[in-house]
Amino acid sequence: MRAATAHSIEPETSRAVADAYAALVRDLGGPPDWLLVQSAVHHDAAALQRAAAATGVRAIHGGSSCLGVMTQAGVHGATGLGLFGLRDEHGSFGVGLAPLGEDAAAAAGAALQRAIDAAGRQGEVPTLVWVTSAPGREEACIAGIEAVIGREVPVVGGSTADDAVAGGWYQFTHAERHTDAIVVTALYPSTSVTSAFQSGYSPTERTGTVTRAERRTILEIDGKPAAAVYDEWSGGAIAHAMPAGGSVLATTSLHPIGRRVGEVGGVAYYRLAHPESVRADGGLHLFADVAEGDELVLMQGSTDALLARAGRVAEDALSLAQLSPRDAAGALVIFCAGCMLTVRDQISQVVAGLAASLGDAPFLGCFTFGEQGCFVGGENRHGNLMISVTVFARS
Amino acid sequence: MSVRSVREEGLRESVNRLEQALSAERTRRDEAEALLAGIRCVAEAPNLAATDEALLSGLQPLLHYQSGVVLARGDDDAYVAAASTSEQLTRLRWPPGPLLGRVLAGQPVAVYDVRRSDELAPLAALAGVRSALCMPLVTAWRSAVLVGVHAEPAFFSPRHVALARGFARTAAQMLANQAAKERVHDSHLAAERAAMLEQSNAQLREQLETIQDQQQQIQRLSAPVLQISRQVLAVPIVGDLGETSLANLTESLLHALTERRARFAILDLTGLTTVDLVVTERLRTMIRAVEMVGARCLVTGVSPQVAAEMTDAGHPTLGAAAYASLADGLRAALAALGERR
Repeated sequence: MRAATAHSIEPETSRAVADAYAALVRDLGGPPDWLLVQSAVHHDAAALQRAAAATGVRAIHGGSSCLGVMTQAGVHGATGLGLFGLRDEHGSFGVGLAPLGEDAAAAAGAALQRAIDAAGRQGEVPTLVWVTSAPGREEACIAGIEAVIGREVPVVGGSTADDAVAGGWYQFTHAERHTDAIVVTALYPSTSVTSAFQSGYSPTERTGTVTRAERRTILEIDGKPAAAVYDEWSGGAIAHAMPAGGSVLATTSLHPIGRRVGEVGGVAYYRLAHPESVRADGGLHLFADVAEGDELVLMQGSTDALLARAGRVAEDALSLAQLSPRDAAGALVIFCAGCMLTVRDQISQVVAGLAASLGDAPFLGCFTFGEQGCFVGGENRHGNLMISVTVFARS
Repeated sequence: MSVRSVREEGLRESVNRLEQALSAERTRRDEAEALLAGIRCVAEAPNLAATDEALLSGLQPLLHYQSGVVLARGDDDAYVAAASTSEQLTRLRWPPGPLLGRVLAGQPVAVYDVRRSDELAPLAALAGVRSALCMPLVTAWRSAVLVGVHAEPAFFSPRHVALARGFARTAAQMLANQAAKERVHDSHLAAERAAMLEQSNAQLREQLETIQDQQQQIQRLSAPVLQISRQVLAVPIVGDLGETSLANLTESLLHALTERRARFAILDLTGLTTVDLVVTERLRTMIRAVEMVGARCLVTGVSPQVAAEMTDAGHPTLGAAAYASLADGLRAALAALGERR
């Protein structure tokens, strides 16, 4: 198994892809068997998909990232484009796409079946499923995938993003592109692949129960307006948006809402929901589904912790895989765009932390509007303000 | 966020990592114990034929299949059941294909829905089979696959695949060891059998030699060459005379005649109960041989029955003078010797 990354900040899309792809092929020693393309929305979806398809690679998994991408070479900003390639003659990789339509779960299941068929592994359980979808219905997408292959296959990836939460995200394969679809890769590598998925935030003593909700909006916590409760819990983090409503994304990154997923050795772990806006009716809108009866806990984090966390998640992934950095062929990093925006001026420290943990292994990271991953207990979940690192073993 | 909170977060993260590591270790230990139980089960199989069944029962608690089958390559390259835990799986036949090739190349495969795989159509046709786990059992002496099945779709996961991969390596080594052990055992058995055969042959040879000695002794006793006078030897013949016996007797007699310078040999046929053409002819040959060394043969004690048989056989005389008794023959011999002197 060989892995390589390449990047470009060339504004012209076809040249950016051609340059990066040439560098990737050089490093890999030949064309990749799987090609992941992550790009800032500066690059037009149609032009990017055409340029990627022109490489001749059939297994192309593409999506947009918030304000660029990162590799071991650094952060590649507003015109940034990154490629991650795997060359594995004994492995199989297949990509499938389906518009989410009315039934996101069914779409995800269909995309997965197409991916498995494209890999030539009809009926076979993949080692890992990589997903990239439009933000909004990720929980249903995970459920749809699990309905096909069960709950024990790691489902990892991130929701496509743009630069201003303006709906400019996109998803594509070698054959088609969409703005409200899911792209799925079924990975059957010949070596091991291991993923770590963490939030890293700590729970506080502020807790409550959702008593009224509408999909991704909490209307009431313990019978009181949700926004007011959250504002009190967070010490006024969303006061500026009350009572009229408005975006609160930038001020809530260090105070997400947590829900317990499970525990390991008596220590609970949580998936996070990032408050995105306050509605005029006092509802608190999140980047994740919520249901009545959900037990909520206010989480707390720090910029220092966010800067160091990606490197620690990479260490965890290597530890879970029982690999040393030199045994890793390469890694994929999903980093919440909200976290990135919180530490934007110091984002190079995140790259440095990842490079320190992963050694010489190349990595590609993208900034997402939602993260999907597999917790240490084996649960596949969608969350916000999460980080995942997925490591491919060299042999 | 306060410094205290940051410290708490770091502490919490450390505890989390430690507990996760411990949990992962516990999981690995549980799996290792399950693997060991499976290995023990296989190791205790008395022979290779019982190993497949031991594998199926030993791995069931580890891989959680509802039923399983070990398929080995048949005459037409399709894989057929060598052992199974259910009746319907004994009829399973898996023709070669890419999936089987991957498994045989050492990659265990979990199948979430057998109906989606053309290659597994024979499995999909069986009642109550939706998912499968295929594990290689390849050694130098045999190419085989263990297939565990379950009624639930997507029952088997990458975790099962990882366990199967870990066990397949060990199982292949164990199977190879067991085959080698059995071959060594077989070669030991062959060596033991060869040694026993050699020993038996030696005993037989000894017995044969003893028998031959005894036969010669008996022959000597049944036809001893007796010196009854200085120049007269007597050979009382008892029982039937075979070709070998008569040849031995002739040799002994000629040797004695020569050695003792005897002039007469009296063949006393008193103990001879019956003769046929062959025996008569052999006696005639012996009488001629005696004459050829310069001695004379006399025949005594011919019973009426033997005389009749000799006549019926067309040999009324043996070519030697006949006397009623050994004493008559000795008297005649001594008389002839006296005349000559």
